[in-house]
Amino acid sequence: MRDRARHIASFFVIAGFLALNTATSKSGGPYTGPIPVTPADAGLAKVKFDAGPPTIADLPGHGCSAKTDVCRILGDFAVGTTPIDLPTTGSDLWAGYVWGAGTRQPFFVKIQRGYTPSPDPKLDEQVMDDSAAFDVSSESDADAWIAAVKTGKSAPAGNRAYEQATGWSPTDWFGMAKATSGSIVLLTDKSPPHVFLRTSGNRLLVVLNSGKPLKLGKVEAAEWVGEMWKTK
Amino acid sequence: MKRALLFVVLPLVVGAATYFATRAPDIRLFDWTPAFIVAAVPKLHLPAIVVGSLPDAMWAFAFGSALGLVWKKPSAWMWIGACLTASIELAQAAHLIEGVFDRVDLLAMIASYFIGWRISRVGISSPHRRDAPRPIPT
Repeated sequence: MRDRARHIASFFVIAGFLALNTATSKSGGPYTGPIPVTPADAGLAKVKFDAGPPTIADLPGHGCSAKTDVCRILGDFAVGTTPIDLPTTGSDLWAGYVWGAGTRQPFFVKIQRGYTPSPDPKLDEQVMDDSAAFDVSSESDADAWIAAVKTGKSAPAGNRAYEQATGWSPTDWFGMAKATSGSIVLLTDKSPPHVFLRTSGNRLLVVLNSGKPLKLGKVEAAEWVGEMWKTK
Repeated sequence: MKRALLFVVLPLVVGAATYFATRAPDIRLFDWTPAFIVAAVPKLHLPAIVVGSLPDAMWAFAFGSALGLVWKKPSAWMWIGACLTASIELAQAAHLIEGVFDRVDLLAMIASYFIGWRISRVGISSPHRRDAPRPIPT
């Protein structure tokens, strides 16, 4: 092979390998860089909740660089934004996973507008329920449902995890407020603030942290970190 | 051809299989690969350093090998490829592309790239082109 041919071949080798490198990018649109932090969201909360919530820098694992889901999500959480579109009617259901103590669990959150009473009357217009881990008899059903949700598809027919999430009627709704850390914090009068939310692209990111171990299902962890997608 | 399969295709397959075995299916590679292939790879719990760095190292090894097989001799393209390999990881640190910067990844990729460049040419590299005139003894 002459050098001229080698130069041309080298160009194509580089082009091909750079194209291959995009295989490890997230599917669903080109990357547009980190999402800037929104300093304030007037449409979210009427009050600023300034007691209890940790700052982002206080979160265990903040700034970690290992290629784990927890580090990835914490990194996204640090640059995530806070506005969440509240449904005009009915409720939105977000589903995904949380990671904690080396385990992964299905997790979902229901959001609806105008539920009362909330722990603070000023929050009445925007409230949310945190489901914690839901008890599904089949883990594969939850995996199948969340896999469908991530790709924007409807739940598989007869999926028990989806049916349980949609059929379940919560008794303890959380109010939603803007925490001093810049996250959305969910408030209830039954437990200290420990649910923090941010959005990143089409994902709703969640950090569960109260400074004390939190038990989801049968697993207790100092912190749970997760991501969810809106279901159809 | 055998060298291309051994030093380029095989490392890419190993890297892809590592993704299928350990990662969530939210990257394009899963979209590009037929579902039955993804399903055929068993899910494994591997050390984080393997999960995080092995696919990158395999990509860099294959990249270095491919350029090494093209040139079979020292070339400026070796350094161009090395710079591109490093810049992919460094661009993550600068948030220019998606991903989480990791020093271990950077070192693994650079080392793998040069190992691939060198090892793929073992036994075939020649300092002189066949059609080049031989040096005249003085």
